[in-house]
Amino acid sequence: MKFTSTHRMAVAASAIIVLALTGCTSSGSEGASGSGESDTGTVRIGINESLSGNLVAYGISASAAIRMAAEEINDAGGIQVDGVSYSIELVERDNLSTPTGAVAAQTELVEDEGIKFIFGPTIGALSLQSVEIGKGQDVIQLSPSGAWQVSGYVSNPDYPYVFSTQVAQDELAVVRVDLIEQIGADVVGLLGSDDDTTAGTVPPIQAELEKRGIEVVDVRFPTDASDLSPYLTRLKSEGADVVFYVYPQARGAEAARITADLGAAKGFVTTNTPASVALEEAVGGPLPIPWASAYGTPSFEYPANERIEAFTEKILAFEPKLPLDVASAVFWFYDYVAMLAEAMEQAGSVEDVPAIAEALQSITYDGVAGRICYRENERIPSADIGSVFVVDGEVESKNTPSSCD
Amino acid sequence: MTSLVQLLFDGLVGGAIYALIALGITLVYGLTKIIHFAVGEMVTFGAFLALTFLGLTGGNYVIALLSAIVGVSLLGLVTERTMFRFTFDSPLSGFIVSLGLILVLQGVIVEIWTSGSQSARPAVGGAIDISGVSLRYQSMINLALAAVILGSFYLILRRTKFGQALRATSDDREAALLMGVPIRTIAMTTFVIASALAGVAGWIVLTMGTVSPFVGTSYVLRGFAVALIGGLGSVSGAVIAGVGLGVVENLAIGFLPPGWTDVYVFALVVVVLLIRPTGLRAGAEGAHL
Repeated sequence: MKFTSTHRMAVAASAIIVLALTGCTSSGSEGASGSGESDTGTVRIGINESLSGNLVAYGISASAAIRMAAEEINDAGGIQVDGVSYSIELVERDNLSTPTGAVAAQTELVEDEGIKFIFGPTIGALSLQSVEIGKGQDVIQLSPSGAWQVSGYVSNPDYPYVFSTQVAQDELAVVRVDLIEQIGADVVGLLGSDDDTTAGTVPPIQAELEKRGIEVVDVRFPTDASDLSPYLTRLKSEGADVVFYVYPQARGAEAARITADLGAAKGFVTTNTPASVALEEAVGGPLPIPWASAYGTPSFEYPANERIEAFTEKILAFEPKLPLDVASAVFWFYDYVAMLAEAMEQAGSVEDVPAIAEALQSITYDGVAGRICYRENERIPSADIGSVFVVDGEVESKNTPSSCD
Repeated sequence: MTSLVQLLFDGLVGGAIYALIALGITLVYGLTKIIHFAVGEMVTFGAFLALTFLGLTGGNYVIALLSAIVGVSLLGLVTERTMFRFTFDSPLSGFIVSLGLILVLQGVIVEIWTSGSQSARPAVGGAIDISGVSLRYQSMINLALAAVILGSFYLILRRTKFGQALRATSDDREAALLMGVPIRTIAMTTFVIASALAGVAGWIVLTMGTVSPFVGTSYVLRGFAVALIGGLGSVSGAVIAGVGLGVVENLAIGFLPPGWTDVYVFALVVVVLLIRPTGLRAGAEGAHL
């Protein structure tokens, strides 16, 4: 077919009409259309997560939780602001599990897409650089990053829109050191991979241990360490009574078993995982030494309650391939999407970032993970802390409620 | 003293795994001059295959081991027939293919199994305590398995016609061809053997506790370092360097700041290669099987 000038004009005119129509009906981050009771709009929320690479398990857990929460909010009618129903539109970017990838994803979301609300990255090692991209801009960023807390981003007034979604590390440290004292220790061996996540988790525990007069031996292994035996032998030779295993959680069972096999310590304490059933499965029976775990999110196992069980069923139906060894990461996101939506409703805006941040700071929310609220003058949440203490397979679980009113 | 012995023992076990992987790398290099980096992903594939068969058989570790060996050997055969055979005369292309294969296999493993880590318990749990040194039963099994395989392979290489053909092809491909050695078949078999060794290594890694789709990367880096130190293409060099590296690595963890382990390991590689650029067991013209 030969194109004539008439054809070209027709095509150009059609393109202009399509573009014009698109501009009218779709929205940018806060667009609204229509009138009266049927007013609708869209709020765009970014996800900067590890959707590939070696941290993909955390990324897909986070992404699943955010997608499910957004879907539920949309199905329930969206975010209601001034008579307009805003549905959530998610924009996902893969940070490739690398710090440079996290920066690139953040830049794309903030600069190119103009997004003002971003979840992630989950892992501390990726979160530190990405936070600088939003500095000085009206962008609310939420992540469980422990490194943010230790580095002071979530208390620093220069970063007023950076919000942690992980329970305060110092509150967690108190519960964790209580567990260590329950086993009894003069010397505690801290063991974790040599990265920003461990670096972000250790200082509050170390400070709490030293406050109680307990000596600390800190041993880090390279992230690609093939065998943990020599590291535990080192802790044993340094006289550790209890091993406190920090990160990554996926190697917790391995560390526990080697601790018991080598007689490296008389007790074992971990951070968020493993749950006792998973640990028994991995060890081949109850761990022959006392072990304990305290975590800032509910695990899928403890404290067992109907709310967690129902949520577990729901999220596994939503994302059947969820890797359960790290899936407690979903609790760092699911409730916070709803909290952000509630903050927008309270602020009466989906674009006024300072007002939304202020509302988010003041909300007390009853979520799946328990009662959540932000501390005064800090963007660090107080939330329920679950813990287990296991001796000879007998499990004693405890819930330390958040300090929210 | 007990710590020293403990570290030496665990170093021997770790070194044996490095030697198995390095042997695969060095065999393929010796025959084809291809640096086969995807061996690490084959280790991972073997570990996950073994894990699957552990589940299917209700915890039969022998069947799991056999499944890892057979499955990864088949994978080696398929990759040789469909990819590497076309790079036989162009080792650099073969190296690039192996890099691409790493990403492909990682993606396949994530899709088939999981993106996260999987824990597995040892075939035999517990340890025997000898004067304060804990010898874990599984570590002893792993060490014995690796020693039997490495020893058998050494004998095959030295005492059989196949071994003779392998060495002849490694020494001079054209001369071997003129003498009637089926060098294409030998090369294919070498890929299968290297893969089978990776399958065994995968099973051993699984019994150590945790596997993830990316676990092979750390092993292959050390395996490659071992192959370099031993002399690329040298079987005895791979074994000596593997065990040596495992022991040095463990002693460094035990007595030096442990976070720097990778630095010690790869600094050692640099030092050895500065002193002997072709590796410990190689002559001036490079190593031969």
